[in-house]
Amino acid sequence: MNDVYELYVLGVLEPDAAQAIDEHLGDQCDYCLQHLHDAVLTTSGMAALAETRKPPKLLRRRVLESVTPRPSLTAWKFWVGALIAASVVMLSIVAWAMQSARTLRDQVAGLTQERDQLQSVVTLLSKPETKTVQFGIADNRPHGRVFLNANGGVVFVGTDLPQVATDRTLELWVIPKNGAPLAAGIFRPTAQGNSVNVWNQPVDMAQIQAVAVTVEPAQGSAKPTTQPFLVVPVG
Amino acid sequence: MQKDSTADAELIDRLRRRDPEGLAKAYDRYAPLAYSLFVRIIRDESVAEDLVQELFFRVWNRARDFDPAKGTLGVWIVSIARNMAIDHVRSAQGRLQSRIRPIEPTDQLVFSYKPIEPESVIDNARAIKEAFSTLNPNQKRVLELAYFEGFSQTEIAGQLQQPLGTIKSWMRSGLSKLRSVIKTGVAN
Repeated sequence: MNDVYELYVLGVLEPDAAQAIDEHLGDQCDYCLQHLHDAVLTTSGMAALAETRKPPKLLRRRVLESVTPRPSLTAWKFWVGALIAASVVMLSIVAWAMQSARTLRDQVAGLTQERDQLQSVVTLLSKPETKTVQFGIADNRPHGRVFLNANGGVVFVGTDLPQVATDRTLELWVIPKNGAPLAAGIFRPTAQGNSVNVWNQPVDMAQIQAVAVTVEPAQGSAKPTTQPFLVVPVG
Repeated sequence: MQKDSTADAELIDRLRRRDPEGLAKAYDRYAPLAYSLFVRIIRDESVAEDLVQELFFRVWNRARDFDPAKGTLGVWIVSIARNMAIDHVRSAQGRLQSRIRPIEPTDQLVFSYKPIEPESVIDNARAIKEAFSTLNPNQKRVLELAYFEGFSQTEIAGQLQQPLGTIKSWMRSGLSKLRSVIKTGVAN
């Protein structure tokens, strides 16, 4: 009779016999439980009849990793991610700082140029031999002054000057009595239409007929390409 | 040397506390036996490795339900392993519903009876191995077909082309000899 329990544990009993034991076990029969326990011990020992095989070494790690988190890998990923993020932030800061430095350099250069211009204007205006010509008295049209000095050159101070497109600029011309107009510098008026333009070249006062302003391409022109919108006679 | 049953109780305690070191020790103690069993039944080392992983995953997840006072860890692990392997073979062969005693619902029954002296599955296995060597070839063959192939007695009769009654007789006498070894600890 005892072998029935081993056969039951082995799973080799016919279905009706197995079902009978299932039902009997459900009643918590002490006798059955004892014999079933013995049967499990007997049959489980049969596992040793298998030829002994050593599991691969890597299998142990695989098993343990399947039930435990991998902090080292997680930490590794975290730190690589953090390093990448820090690098991106650092590069952004460097790029921003370089851009800021470039902008500041440009501003400093612009202010330096403006200061030099103003110094030239002050120097030129303080000289008694400087000639002053006023133009465009009326409002809402370009008006201002032109200062000429034989050694200091020409200073053009204008107000209500027209705005020009971004691909255009204003260009000052010194027009001699004989010969072609001399380019005296490009400039863009402020939003209020104001501008001071200095041309630091010695001039022959007796030979200058007028000063004019034209609209030219952004990089300026060697000779006027449009009709002047402003001509100031100085002769 | 520490008795396996005592060591098992400590292992179970660690497993129930979700201590990975406990699983590592359980693996070191029982993985060779389980792996050998899987390879013997399935005859595919790669699948055997997968099943060992699944086996210990189950042990890890179900350790809380296991009461060390009611049974031995080794018997539990080997029983689960054998059922997994036979189910795998039957599933792969498309054989119909497994007649293997399902370990899940009857575990409590099997392990609810407290033995007077909890046996070590490994010591027990050594005795079984010795006893098995004393069986005659027919007894060995029918028990191997039942345990490692999961064949029913009827299927074994068909395999060996012997009457069902003869198969039952060989199986009964073989099991009787093994059982006596378990009780006396001595192979006849």
